[in-house]
Amino acid sequence: MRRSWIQTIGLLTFMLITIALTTGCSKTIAISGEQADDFHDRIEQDYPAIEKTTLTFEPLTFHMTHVLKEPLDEKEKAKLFEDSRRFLMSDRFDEEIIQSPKIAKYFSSGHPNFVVVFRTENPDSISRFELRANNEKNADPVYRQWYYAEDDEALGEPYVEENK
Amino acid sequence: MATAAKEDYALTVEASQQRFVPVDIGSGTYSYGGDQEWWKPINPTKYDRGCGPVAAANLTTYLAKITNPSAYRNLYSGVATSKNDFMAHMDVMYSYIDPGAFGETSVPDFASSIEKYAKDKNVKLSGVRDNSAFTLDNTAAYIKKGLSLNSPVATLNLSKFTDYIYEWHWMTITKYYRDINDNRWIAVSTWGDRRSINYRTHFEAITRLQSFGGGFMYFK
Repeated sequence: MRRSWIQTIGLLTFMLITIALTTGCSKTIAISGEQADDFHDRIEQDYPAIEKTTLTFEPLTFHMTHVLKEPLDEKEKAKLFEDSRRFLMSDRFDEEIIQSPKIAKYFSSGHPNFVVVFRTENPDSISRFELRANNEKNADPVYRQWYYAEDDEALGEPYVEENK
Repeated sequence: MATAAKEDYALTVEASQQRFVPVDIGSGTYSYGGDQEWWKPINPTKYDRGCGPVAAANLTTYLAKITNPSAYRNLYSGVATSKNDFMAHMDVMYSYIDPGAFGETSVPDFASSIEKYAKDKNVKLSGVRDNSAFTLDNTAAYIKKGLSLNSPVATLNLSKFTDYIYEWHWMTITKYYRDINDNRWIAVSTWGDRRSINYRTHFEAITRLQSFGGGFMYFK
């Protein structure tokens, strides 16, 4: 069962809107502002291997992607992840970003997920930490951390449990 | 003010457990259907275009595991709750639907792709076409028919540049509810989550002037 849009929309409107559209059915909201800029500056100073860091929200998940000039060893990745996690789960991030109208409208209840990605220009060199929320009532812990190694396209392994 | 008839139609597993295609996304945590975001770190293109294939994966998995396993088993042979298996199924659905740069924007094409997949799996399955006028009551009746058969209903909304957060998006309807004051709600699977949406809002988003349309499709 479908609605025929040809009957109700002029061709010109169709063409104009088509040109304006650039994506499929995903939504990506770039996270910017003083807080994010401060974090980017600090993290790029502390980790010279970072070429750039991007932060986006795709319902219902925040993605922080660290593009690396050169690969990091596992210990460095864990440290960078901890810094990133601390930022993403800070009270300030919650108040200024998660509770902002453009993000909060996606959550009538529940918590966002967080994914921290490490990648180099080599498309095979992608690893990531994930903080997945359990939104069931009285969930404990609310978040579980998972790590996906570079060559691992399967399920990751539990990393550390988080109660926050 | 006249009262409306109360109506409550839901898939059986939604009605009994408020679950739908539960995929294990971590120890003890289950999604409510698939999530295109799972593609994001490994395949951004599939993430960008993948809501139709996810809806297709939801429908075929539910039909195979719950609605009628003896008839539809071949539609999904993976482990019901395995994320690896379900993502492999999402990939298969993606290859059949083959969404373009704007995603899958055609309800008939979506139906044909699933029918082709079912045929290749030796399963007799057809999308239920309905050419009646696209009105609030007729579309609600269509959804209720699908849910009465324990068949999930895919919905596409091609509105754009609105405040409605489910615009330009495929979702899977698992429940329809109407109270005596004629408030109508649907429960949907989207982004791996269960969402409750005012049905008038959804219908009006599809039919508003600035919308490219959309529609509904269930299979039997």
